[in-house]
Amino acid sequence: MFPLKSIAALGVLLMAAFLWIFYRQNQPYRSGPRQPIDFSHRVHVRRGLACDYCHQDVMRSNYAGLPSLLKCISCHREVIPYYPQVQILHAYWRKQRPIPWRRVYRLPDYVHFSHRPHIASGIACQTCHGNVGAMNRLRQVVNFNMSTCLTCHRAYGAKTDCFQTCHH
Amino acid sequence: MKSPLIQIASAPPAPAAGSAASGGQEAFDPAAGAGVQNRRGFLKSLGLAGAGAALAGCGTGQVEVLPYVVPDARRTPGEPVRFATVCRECPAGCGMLMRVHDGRATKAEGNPDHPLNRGKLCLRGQSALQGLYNPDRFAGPLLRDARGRWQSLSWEAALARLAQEISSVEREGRAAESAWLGGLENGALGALVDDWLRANRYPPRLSYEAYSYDALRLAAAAVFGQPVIPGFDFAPARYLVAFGAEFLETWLSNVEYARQFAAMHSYGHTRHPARFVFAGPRLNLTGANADENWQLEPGAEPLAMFALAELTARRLHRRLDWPAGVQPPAFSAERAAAAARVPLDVIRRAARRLVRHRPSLVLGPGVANDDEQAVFTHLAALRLNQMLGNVGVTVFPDRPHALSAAAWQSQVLDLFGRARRGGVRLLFLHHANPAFHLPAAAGIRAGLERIPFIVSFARQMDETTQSAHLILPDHDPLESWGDYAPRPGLAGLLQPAMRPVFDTRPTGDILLWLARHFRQSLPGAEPQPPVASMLPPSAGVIAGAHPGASGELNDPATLGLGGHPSRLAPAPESPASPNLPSSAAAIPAPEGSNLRSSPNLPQPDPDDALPPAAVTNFDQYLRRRWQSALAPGAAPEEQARIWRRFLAQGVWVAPGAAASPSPRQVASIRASSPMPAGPLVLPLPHPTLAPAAPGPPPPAPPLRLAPAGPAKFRGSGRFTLLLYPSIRFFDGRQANRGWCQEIPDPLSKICWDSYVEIHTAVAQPLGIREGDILRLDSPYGAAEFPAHLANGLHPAVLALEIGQGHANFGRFANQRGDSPGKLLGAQLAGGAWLPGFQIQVAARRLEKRRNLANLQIERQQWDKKIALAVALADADTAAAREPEMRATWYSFHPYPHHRWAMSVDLSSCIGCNACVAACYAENNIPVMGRSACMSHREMAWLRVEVYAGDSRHPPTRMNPDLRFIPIPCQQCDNAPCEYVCPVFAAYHTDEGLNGQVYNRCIGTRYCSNNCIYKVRRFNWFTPQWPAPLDQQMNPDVSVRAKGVMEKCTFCVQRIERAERSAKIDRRPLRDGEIQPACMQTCPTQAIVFGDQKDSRSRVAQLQRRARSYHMFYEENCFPAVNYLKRVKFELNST
Repeated sequence: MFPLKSIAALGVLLMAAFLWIFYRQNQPYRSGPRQPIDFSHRVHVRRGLACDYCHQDVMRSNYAGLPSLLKCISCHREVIPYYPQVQILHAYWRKQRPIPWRRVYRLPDYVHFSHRPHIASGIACQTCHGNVGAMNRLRQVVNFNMSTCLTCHRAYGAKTDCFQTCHH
Repeated sequence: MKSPLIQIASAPPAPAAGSAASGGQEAFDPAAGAGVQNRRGFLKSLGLAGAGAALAGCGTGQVEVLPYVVPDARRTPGEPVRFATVCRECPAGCGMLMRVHDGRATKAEGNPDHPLNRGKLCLRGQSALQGLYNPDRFAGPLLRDARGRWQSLSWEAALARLAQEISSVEREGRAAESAWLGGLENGALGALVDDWLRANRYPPRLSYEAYSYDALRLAAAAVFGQPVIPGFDFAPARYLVAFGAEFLETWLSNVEYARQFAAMHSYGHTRHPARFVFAGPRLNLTGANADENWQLEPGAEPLAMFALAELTARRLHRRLDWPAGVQPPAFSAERAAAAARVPLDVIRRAARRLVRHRPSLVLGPGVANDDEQAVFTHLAALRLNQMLGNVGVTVFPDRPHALSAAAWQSQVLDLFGRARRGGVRLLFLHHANPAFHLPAAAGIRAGLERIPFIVSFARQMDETTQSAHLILPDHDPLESWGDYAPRPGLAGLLQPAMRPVFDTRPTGDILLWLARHFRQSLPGAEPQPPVASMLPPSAGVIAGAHPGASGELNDPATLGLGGHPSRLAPAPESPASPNLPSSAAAIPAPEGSNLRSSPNLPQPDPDDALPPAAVTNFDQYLRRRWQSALAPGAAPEEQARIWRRFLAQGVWVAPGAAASPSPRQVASIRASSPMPAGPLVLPLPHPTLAPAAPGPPPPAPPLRLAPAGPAKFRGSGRFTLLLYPSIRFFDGRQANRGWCQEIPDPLSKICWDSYVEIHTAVAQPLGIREGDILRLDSPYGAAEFPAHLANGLHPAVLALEIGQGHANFGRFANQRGDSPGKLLGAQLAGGAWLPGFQIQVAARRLEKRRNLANLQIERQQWDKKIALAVALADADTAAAREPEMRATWYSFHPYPHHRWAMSVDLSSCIGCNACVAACYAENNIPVMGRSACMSHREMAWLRVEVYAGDSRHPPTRMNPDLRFIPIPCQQCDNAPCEYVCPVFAAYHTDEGLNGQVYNRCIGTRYCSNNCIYKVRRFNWFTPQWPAPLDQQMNPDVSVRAKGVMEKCTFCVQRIERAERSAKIDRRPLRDGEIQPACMQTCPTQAIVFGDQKDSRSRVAQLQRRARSYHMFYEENCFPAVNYLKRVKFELNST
């Protein structure tokens, strides 16, 4: 019964592939994307930098903001300027081109999120972004699905109206 | 970026006559063919899509985020900034605030500081963004080769070509044979052009405006001694008579006049509204707001005006004395009234009221009939105003409008006459399109063909620029520096809101480069700053800080500073080694990125510094001109401070300018615009009443189709064709914008088409139905238009909207029907040529049809209570009250915090549709194209419907009783849409909105079917925004996909933003803090939004008014939108 066997094998293979894709899609602890510079949040946080030292728009805008090259270079002109990864930074600076960071956290287009009210009501950055201070390459540790948002919003008694809170 | 070039290269030839009739192909139509797909194709695409989805699931979908290289301390990424600038969509010059999201201009709003428009904009001003992001703009310079094809070339090569041509003109000694035909530029650019022309010994420039109000200027010259367009103030008037002036649409300064008109006429603004009488052969939008309509015979305005003036003079016991050189009519007022077919007692009553209610205002005809006869009408109107003591109260000859400096039509015609004789060597076209505006008989095209070299600074292809040889595209006004003075003593400053979208170059930079190239010295560009000629020596007052339209403006750290395009791309030093592609342009902003890099190292803000000794680009030129005028002799820091304040406010008001401008300013306008040669000979007001004509005028019953007497206008047809300016396209310049095409005409409600209006009573006996093609024959040519049956015009009149019928103006404007210009003549009469948009035509029905996309077919309310009106005497009494119904088995919604509501005052609404355009801009509403609109699949969240009277108060000719009613989603408490949604996408929020969760919607359309107001819109097609129009999108609003229902949300993104700010600042929301886009732009403040739960809020107060009602109250939906009945002086009775 050769054909039956092979069909069964194919089926098992397909099932395995499907399960693997399903698993990959749903597990939050994926390794983060490879960045153009091997930037380590762990190193910077351990040196005592606060989150909003670099992500300084977090209190003013929807976006937390990324540090400008000027901000990076203002330290790294003096701090380990000959470290190979910092050399890459210097190369970008010399060319006056922005570093094309890979996005780690992303919300769908139909979700309107703003950092500002969350920080204003005292939510720690780690609540959503995990212990970034322990990560070298940044990865997403909290799965941003609606139940994550809702659980927290309910716990804090925040607005949970679908339309007026996020989906407009 | 490439597509505009490709399109130009393969631009279709001008459509032949009657292409509209044969149903020409749509230039822009996302809906066409979208629904055609056979089953096999569907299955194929299904399979492909499935495979694609499976593959996409495996990918990580890498997206880049780019940081600034050097941050701009004045900006926060993600937060909008507002820049003050000036709207240049028409010569009115309203102040504008551009909202800019991360370097992209996303919304135009009025500047609350500007004394003209006070924060409001019209439909055309709202559409300025679609001019900026127009996909048909030139992507760079173009040169026409020997075979007549457009070749793209670099800026260096283009400028070298221009310099070469200027040199050869110089060598040939034909400098005096060149000409500059430009738009109305009366600020720094105008001065620069003048200086440059003088330096080259070229003749002075002509400021071309299609609507140049020649008749009004001629009349003012006779009455006031100056050929100026007086300033008008409607607000103090207690009685208003307009003989056709379309002051709520296009006439001079329509936003300003709409605001003043509401203050004077709307019951929502005054308890003692003034009456408004409109007289003319066609009821336009302005006339639709009148209390009394005198439907005149075509061409009878002078007669009716004469009768009114004469009877008023009699009542004042004075003689109606005419200015010198004017031959007074040799007939009585009674005879004139009879010939005009206006009942004598009606005119007597108006005269009585004019005398009793003072100050008043009498206006002459509008642009629609700006012909020889209009001079007489204007003259009589101005004389009447003088006699009634209105001069200095409502009419200000000492406050001339900027348009007073426009070239006379005779000058433009003369230029092209010389061109036809080979007398023009070099022509500069700066945003002038006479080949479209002026009649074909004027021979503009033939003149253009004979000019050896034409340089055009146009932003996009038009009918005149297509004859050019070299195109040096200018920045859009929203990318430009500049200034504009709507009247002496009032100026607005333009500053770039963003970096140039295309590879364009400001014209001022080009002129300065040319001057340096030829080593010429221009006064304003020299090391010694001159005293600006435009300004009085003393510094003016920059209008005071306004309360928080934008916090940024008041914060000195974030004072309005745009992308400074001209600073980033400086003018080239020489054509050989130009410093052209700026480093900024070299770094492309990646797709989808909100962040952009800034190429420069931190440097002191150039705006703080005095411009360098010799200026090299136009923004320096402008700054020096203003800095030396605003604070002459002040310290540089003080000058910089004042300049920055000016930048932030955008308005400059001279001290005491409003009261009395200096005679010098009037004189300068006069000098720049000489009177046409020859004596002022006024034509007789009406041929049938020529003094020699014996006997009474022959009677002409209203439905007689041939003029019984001699023809009043040129031509011999039985109809008088009347061309009227368009509220959507002005003179045609806004025709290539999706919003302007898709928002229907307020009265006909037709979009995406040109059509000829014919009276229903005339059309029906002739067997003409809506959409039948009529062929119009005039002595000058023939054209074909689909017919639209209307009631608001005289039976002997056919009416055509100006602005459609473009042959070569981009994808939205092309192939929208025939050009009316074919029918008109161009004759010089009495030394002044006046356009005369009226002519006699013969009409013939062809066996062809073109269905018109009409968005509101039913004009009668029958017994439905939609747009209601109340008589003035009953406005605040119980008689105005409508019954209410609030019956439910269930409990009412609790609304713990707010209940958002809107109140619309129908007595203020003038039907201008500015709110609709604002809604399109704010809410990312797609433009669907003509064929979708034919199926009523337009996506407008807000529509303005018009109804003529109601079942108890039918319209009459004297009182057409037109009622405009803006209909957004009514946000019902007991909403029929909500309980039919199977997926809970439509549901009720805690603050009273009928939420619509787009990502949950599965497109059953049950909600729309159950909605009694029909305000829900379904995306039948994938919406299209041809690049770069997509950059206009508001990032705070979701972009909806095909298959999703969408609707008005009361601008929930603005509610959320305000609530968030209030919550972070730990303060309650202020009433009026949240302004939906429609409310923000409404020129007459007819729309008020607020919290209904707060009993002191404006909206709650308005809801308690006696004349407040809810549309379709009997349906028991409890809408949150209440309407205030239109207040009429008297209502018609059945």
